[in-house]
Amino acid sequence: MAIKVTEYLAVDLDKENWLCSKCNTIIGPARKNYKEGCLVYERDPREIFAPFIEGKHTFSPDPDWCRILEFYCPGCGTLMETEPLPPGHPISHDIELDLDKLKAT
Amino acid sequence: MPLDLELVKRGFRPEKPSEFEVKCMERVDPVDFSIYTRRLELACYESREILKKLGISTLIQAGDTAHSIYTSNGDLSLAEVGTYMHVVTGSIPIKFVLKHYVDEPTVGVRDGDIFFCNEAIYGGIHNPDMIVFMPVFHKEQLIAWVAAAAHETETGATQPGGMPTFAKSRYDEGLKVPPLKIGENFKLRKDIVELFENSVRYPLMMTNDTAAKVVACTRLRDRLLEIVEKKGWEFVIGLLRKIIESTSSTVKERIRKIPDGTFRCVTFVDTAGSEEGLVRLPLTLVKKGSSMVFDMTHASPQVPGSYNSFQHQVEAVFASLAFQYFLNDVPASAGCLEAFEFRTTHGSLLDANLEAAISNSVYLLPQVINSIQLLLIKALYSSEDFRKDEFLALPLGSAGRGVTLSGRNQWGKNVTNTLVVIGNSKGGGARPNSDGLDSAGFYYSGYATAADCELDESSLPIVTLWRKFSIDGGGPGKFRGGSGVSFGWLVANVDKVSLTTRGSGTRFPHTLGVFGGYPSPTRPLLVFKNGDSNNKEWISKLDQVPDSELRIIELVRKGELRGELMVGANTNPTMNLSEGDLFAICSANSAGYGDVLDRDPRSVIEDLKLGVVSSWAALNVYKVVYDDKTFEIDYSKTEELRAHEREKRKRQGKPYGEFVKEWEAKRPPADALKHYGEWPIPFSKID
Repeated sequence: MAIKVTEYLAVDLDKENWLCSKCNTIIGPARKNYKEGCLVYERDPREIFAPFIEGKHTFSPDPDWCRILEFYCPGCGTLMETEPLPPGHPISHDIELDLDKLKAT
Repeated sequence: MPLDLELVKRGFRPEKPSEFEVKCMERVDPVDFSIYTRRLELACYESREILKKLGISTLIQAGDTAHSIYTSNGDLSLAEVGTYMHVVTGSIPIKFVLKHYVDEPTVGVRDGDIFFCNEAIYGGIHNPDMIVFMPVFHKEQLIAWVAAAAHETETGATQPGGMPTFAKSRYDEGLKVPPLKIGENFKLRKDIVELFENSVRYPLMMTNDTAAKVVACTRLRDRLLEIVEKKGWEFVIGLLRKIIESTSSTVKERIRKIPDGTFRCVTFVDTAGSEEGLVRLPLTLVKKGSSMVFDMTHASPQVPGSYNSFQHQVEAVFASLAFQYFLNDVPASAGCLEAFEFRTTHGSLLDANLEAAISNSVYLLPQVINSIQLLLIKALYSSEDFRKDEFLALPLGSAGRGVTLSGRNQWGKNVTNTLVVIGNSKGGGARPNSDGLDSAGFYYSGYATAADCELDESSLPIVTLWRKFSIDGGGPGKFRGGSGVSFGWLVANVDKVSLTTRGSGTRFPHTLGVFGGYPSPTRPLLVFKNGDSNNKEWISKLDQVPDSELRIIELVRKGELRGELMVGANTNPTMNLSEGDLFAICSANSAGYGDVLDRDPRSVIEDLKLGVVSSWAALNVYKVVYDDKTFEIDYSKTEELRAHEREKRKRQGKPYGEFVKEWEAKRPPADALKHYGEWPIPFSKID
């Protein structure tokens, strides 16, 4: 049985796998961080928020202070999650479900 | 000194009902419970309307107030309107008075007494938030407490406006009053009024608004005594306690339905108050059974500026969020808070030392709201009971920004007031089925409104040049974040006025997107000093009145405007402006939901027509191809462009392990980490 966990992620409780709910690609083991099964890209924030002017305060995030990490489904290229972080900051393990409890209910 | 940190540390959770209260609860049948709970809610509404009509502070006029009823032992029983964190924090000063002053012969608690508090270390938020509270007696029996609170725009601090951005310690922050009896027999004491007036830059507001809160409290008291007359005082004791008990069990049952798990995120604020720099605000939410733990132990250390808070303030902003959002259908009582636990590290900026400056805590703590709401979405989504827009909305834009003007106004009166419209027009968060509302409101008070131009212009020496949605302000996504508002004001009809600005979100995005949605963008402050005292009316010489920051920048670049242009951090030292000078700031934008390539192209075109999305973003971010004259969408080319982008993602994305190896070798520049603490995880030795 698969349960929808986010807009684009489902968890297959029988096989204990993360799935892409758009293309059914197996992302990885459900007891691990789903991000480990995604393709990851480091986005310069200026590609999403165009700077209005030059300088330190450009109306766009400072690319030395912030990068936007993008996590893609390796099957269909859907952008499953974003995470704005200072360069080098550890990536969050954002969703860790109690699978045993979920299976029991 | 009876500073009672144990009382503050205990927080807002209610005490167990006494045997007498249990007996009194038995007198309240379900029908009366429903009728009289509603009657008390309406009494709070009435109290709010009274304060709004009598108050001077722009925040009162906008509805940023709180009105609440507490049990005789100080537990919050019910509050229905305004800024909920004020009503939660009212509980601790009331309990302080009960514990330390009831039997104190020089103070005592009697019918008609009026108490006041605006001191964070005695349970308040920050000293602009001033609460008036009164006991309610039936004959000799204390049966309840009532309170009215609001944010006042002046405290006599080192900078005008009560939120000094350059405060280094509590002693820079102005008037701080622990729980204090300020009146007897329903009248304010003349000597206390004199003390208050002598302590601030805007004495008229201080006296007027304190008196207005007394009137608001008195009306709540009258309504309670009407119920006493009809149903008896024991009924009121039972009703107030029963509201707490019933909400506690409702909330625990709701939490039980959420799947168990652990959820994590991290946000950053890009100012310490005194200077720019990143500080870290992580959150781990552990949901188990009918309880939730919010762990923030690895936040950055206390900063030397005023962007610090105490732990009870963290709990108070959570209450503000819960009462408006996840628990908005149950009475806002202390019973709601029993199921939640908060963990912070003493010495961090979320659990600062007592001497710390904390006056801008309210601009730091929206990041806590941001994180909690984001993780609630991730926790709730897998339950069909909660997979609805009303439960899964991203938060309002969380970058706190504000402006205070101080000086003699165009009528020759001394004023210090805040342009509350900046705070109350933040963009709303996107949802699973809809965009965030543009200019949605204020994160602390869902009832607060954005003031009209005329209200600001009538009391302050300014003219509004523009107020319009901030273009490309909402974080992109399948559903985009709500846009904040860009404001431009011109100083007019006075020689000079002082400008104090505060806020963040100029270098790092503050509000996080979800499920592939992008965060909110950054927005700086713009100040243009005309510099020519003979050319105060430069605007009238232009072909068109400027209508955005970009237009001002363009005019300066072309040489059509001559003067000093500053585009920079939102937090600055107080500066003097002269007639003809201009300042512009943007209220916080919110974040997006879902993959931007899933956005309906028709919605992109609608946004384009509305002016909230640029043609650059329509093509380069949303990947929509259209005719720029007719706005007709080319669906075939749009789908082609989006398919190409998905393929590009698969080529440019790296496997996680490979990516992390390169990523973790990076580090932000030293100026970004000056106040951050140990990189990358502050207080890493704490479990």
